[in-house]
Amino acid sequence: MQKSNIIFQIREVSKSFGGVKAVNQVSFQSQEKEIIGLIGPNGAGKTTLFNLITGFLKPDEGHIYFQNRDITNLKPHRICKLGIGRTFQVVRPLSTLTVLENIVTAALLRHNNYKDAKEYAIYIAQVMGLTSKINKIAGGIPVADKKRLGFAQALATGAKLLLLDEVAAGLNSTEVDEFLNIIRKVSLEGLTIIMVEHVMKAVMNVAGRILVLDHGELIAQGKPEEVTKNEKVIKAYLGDQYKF
Amino acid sequence: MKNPYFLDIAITVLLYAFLGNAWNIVGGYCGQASLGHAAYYGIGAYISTILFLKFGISPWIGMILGAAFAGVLAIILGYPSLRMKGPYFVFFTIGFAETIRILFLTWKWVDGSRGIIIPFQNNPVNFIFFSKIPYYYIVLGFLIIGMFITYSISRSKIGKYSIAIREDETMAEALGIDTALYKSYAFAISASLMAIGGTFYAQYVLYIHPNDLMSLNNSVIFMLIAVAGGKGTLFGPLIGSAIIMPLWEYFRATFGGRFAGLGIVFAGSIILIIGTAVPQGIMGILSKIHAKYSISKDNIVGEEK
Repeated sequence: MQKSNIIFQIREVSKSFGGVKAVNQVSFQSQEKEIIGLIGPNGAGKTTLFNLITGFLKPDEGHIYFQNRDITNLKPHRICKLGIGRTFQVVRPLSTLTVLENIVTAALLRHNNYKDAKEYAIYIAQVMGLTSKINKIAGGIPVADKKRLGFAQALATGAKLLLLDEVAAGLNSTEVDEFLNIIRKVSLEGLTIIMVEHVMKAVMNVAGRILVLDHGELIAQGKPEEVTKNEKVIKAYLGDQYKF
Repeated sequence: MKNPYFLDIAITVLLYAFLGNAWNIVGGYCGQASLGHAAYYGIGAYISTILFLKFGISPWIGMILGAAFAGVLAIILGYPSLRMKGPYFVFFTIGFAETIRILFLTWKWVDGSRGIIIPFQNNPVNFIFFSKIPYYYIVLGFLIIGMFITYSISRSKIGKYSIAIREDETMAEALGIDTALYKSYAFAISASLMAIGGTFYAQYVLYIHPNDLMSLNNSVIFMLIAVAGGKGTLFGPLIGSAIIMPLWEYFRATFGGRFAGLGIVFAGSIILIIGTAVPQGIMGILSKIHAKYSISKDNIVGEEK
């Protein structure tokens, strides 16, 4: 941790399930305000990596540092408190609560006073374009809004680093564009973002750097245009038989 | 109000509303369906009674000490038990309550299976009154305080976090909520109130026995009252108790001799009906009716903001 603007670092992290190495010796680091895209075929270990970072899984080997602190074996709520927020691939709103109450619950992490938390939640809802829906029951809103809500909750925890797990999946192209705008806006406000994404348009447009995972290993990283030309990456996606 | 029989039913309704309200904090708001709450009820009764009879401490003070003890016990037990999920948690709570019940049944120092008779020394300091009327007002006061506590919790961070845990524990952790800690808080508050109810029961009936207080039956009734009325709502337990307890009493009085246990059959039927037809309880039905007649108004508010 030499440079001060490195906010997040993973060192040789591995995780196996039974005999399968879901994540194998993965290392990378991220600068403040960076937007990193994490891509790879199904089962490459992207979500596992997120679960390792956020404490939902414990790595077999390796270390994870956030703001010069080893967070490797901390519990999920401690990691969130330190400033890493996440969304889930399958959205999990607090279904019987309203959209606003969902965000307020997240905002209470840094606002002990309910009134302050509510005020902040209303602001976050506005940023996320959820203002017209804050009184709706969260279980009943469309998927695109649930994804927005998940994002809003992660933001409302006061995260410095956001892990977005397929926020664009299942959205139509207008909705994806709206999301990308929000991601850019949030990044400009000083947040660091790591996003897992299958929608290539989404990652390629917004990420400054792309990491490619395949069979749990980091096979390539670099600028979007470099990565798409990388032979290993093409092989991972299209198979060995593919010839240029 | 002069008729002692009806006064007795009224006191029972209020006491069980108080107990259902205590269960509701952990079972309704926090979503941890405990079937062991009768243990805390019994512990409260035994602590105040033993302090009173063996050490001459007023049951009013004994009640506070019992509540404190129950709260601490809930936190100690909460650590292992609240990590369990679903049926495992329920089994743990049943096992815990049955263990405590059998412990008291066989414990000579507390007169085991003979139970304890509290001598009738009527004096407000002893929490013993000649008439039922003071008991009525005391339990009414307890209920109001208990409901006020629930109301305050539901608007506080503990309450909001409890609800988040009920809705989705994984998501709650991801939102930075120390789920084990907040479950323990809810459990401690709930258990303390249970113990206070236990002391009231002891002082009202003046006879305590492990089977009367700590039976699984009682734990089921606490849950039933909250669920029937509307779990996770402020007035649910009161409504539940007002409907269930008079019916329970009716079954006991009418069929108590030849068909003892019919009350349990009745309770079981209620659980089945509610579970399949109205999982949100009576409060759920009421709020649906309310929503139906105020849809237009809600929409206007929603659009404005």
